Amino acid sequence: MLYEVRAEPRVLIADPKCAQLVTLKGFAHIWPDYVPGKGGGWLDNEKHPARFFRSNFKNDFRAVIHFRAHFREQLELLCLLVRAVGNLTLAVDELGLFIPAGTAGTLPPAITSAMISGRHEGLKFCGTAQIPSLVHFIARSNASRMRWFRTTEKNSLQAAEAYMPRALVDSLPSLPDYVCIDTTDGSPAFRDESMVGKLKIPGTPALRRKSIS
Amino acid sequence: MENQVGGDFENAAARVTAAVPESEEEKPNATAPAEAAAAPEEKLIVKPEWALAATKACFWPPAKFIHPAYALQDAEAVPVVPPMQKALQALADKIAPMLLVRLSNRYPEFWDLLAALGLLYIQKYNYVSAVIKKEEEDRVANAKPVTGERVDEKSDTAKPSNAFLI
Repeated sequence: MLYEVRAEPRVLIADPKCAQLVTLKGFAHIWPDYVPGKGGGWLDNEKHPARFFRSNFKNDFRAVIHFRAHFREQLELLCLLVRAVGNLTLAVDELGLFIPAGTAGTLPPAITSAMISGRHEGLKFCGTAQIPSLVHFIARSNASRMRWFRTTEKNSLQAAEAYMPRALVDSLPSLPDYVCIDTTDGSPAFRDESMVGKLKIPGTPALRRKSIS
Repeated sequence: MENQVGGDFENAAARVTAAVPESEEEKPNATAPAEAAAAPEEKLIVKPEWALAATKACFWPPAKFIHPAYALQDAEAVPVVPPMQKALQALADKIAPMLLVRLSNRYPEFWDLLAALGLLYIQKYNYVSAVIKKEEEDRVANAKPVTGERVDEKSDTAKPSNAFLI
């Protein structure tokens, strides 16, 4: 996902795992305090996300906002806020935690608006999911492009059938690292190997070229 | 699209911010004494007469629709006035403001419409009251004087002015 947004000038990443992305360099880190329940929201303190956006309203920025719990509720608040900010890319890690599968009515309204019509405010919405079948179908169906990396999960393979030919679905469990099946609206699905050697996963050693003697 | 920190952003920021808990609002602070001194002037104090009227009003429906003997006399209502006054005071101090804030925040379009319609109604009411008053004045001015004479079929005054004889 970081590779996807590398060229975007204004990037906000939503991080529910608070693990590898905590030490991401070159990014501002926001840790809001959330109060659940009726009348809940983010506490109005120095960690409130609005303070960050107020001081970066016209600037380019790269930030990670970390959520420890109440993922769905906090993404709903974030979508409300970023629609007012506008012109940014919202990258959500582990979409299934924020918008799990369910009926159309279970998707919160601000998230739905951001995903479906956020382009009116200059929003780009992208996300990752280890198990695509656990992501709400509206998010999947509104995605203009999906990259399917190696997966053996039965429900995810079943979900992939709607996007690519059978032969490519059968290849999903055995895809090498960094290789994916690209499904883009209006184009046939294809095997994409362009990212081999280009992706650096935080926390893992970089690939090294073997010397040939 | 040009970004501007303005009303839309501040509205969104307010919507995503947690409401201030009551415990923090009730904490004493340096400005509290001054505010407390100013508060009684703005506070609505429920008078005993209002409590008496409210108590008697509670018995208006049965007096109207069941039997007039249900109507409450002042002496009968007096014992209920203290608790009624207390309840009305609580309504004015706590319950009504809370309800107003909750409802107005939830349905702002509806309350704006209600306010606009209310204002229009007041304007219309004032105008129609003046029209009715004018009509009444005209009616009184044009009414024929009553002389007290007995009117029967044989008297001249009994003849209709525009009779259609078939």
